[in-house]
Amino acid sequence: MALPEPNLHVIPYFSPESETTTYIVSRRGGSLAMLIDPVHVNRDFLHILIQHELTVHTVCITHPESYMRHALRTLQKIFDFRVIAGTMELPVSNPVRQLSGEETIDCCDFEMRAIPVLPHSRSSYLYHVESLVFTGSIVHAGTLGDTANAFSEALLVATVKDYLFPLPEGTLMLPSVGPPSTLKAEQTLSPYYREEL
Amino acid sequence: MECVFADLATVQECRFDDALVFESVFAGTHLRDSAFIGVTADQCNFNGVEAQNTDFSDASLRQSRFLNARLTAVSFINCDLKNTLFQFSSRDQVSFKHSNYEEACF
Repeated sequence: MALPEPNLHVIPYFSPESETTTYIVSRRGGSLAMLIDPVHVNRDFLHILIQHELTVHTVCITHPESYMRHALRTLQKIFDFRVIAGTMELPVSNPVRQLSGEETIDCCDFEMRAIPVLPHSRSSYLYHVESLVFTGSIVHAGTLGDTANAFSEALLVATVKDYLFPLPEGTLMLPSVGPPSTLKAEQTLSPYYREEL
Repeated sequence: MECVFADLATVQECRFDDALVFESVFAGTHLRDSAFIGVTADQCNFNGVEAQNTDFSDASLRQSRFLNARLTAVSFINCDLKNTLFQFSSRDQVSFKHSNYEEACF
């Protein structure tokens, strides 16, 4: 049985400087790109965009970090894009779409669902696009991002169970820190989500 | 090969020598009598793997994760293990000879 042709084209770009991954997401054959958590914009990164004839249309921030400001400032000199984030406090003059709660947004010819992750921080969001979920530094393969205390960690685990695990098992989890994973692998293998704990 | 998804599978008597499998998911896979010699497997997810008689010699495993893995008779000889995570894994007869294991996290 032939597998269906994927609709999305996702290019991971790993920055050795920041040791994080930025994802370039576009509709297959499309020219508009969405960036998830850009951290390091250099010649190699721009070469990828030029090679695939992509224009940055949207930048999504899962969790605003101070180390993203250089990338955002560099990008705004080159592209006219909008920013989607859980906060307005970003070092860009581009329009910022501040998220408030769970929202569905039309973006680069596809629909994206923003899922708030309040236990991590008030401005933290996961982004669900078709069979992908971008988790930034909030949830990684086999572990969780930083939380203020054990109670917040328990709430984050509950949030992941309530919002991520109802998604189809084959959904790919693409964090900005560490390797990718699948929701089925996380649900099965991560000690955080086992019921007995 | 980029972004291989072989999670929760069984890999037995397979050779991946010199393959490029970075950004791939092998989480929960049972690896038996297999060889990943010289592979570039940076940023790979090996969380929860049960590996037995598996050879990762000369592999690049930067930023890869072996969290909660069960490793028995596994060779990581002359590997690049920068920022590779082995936390909560059990290791029996595992060799890290000539690898930069001091840059990995146990």
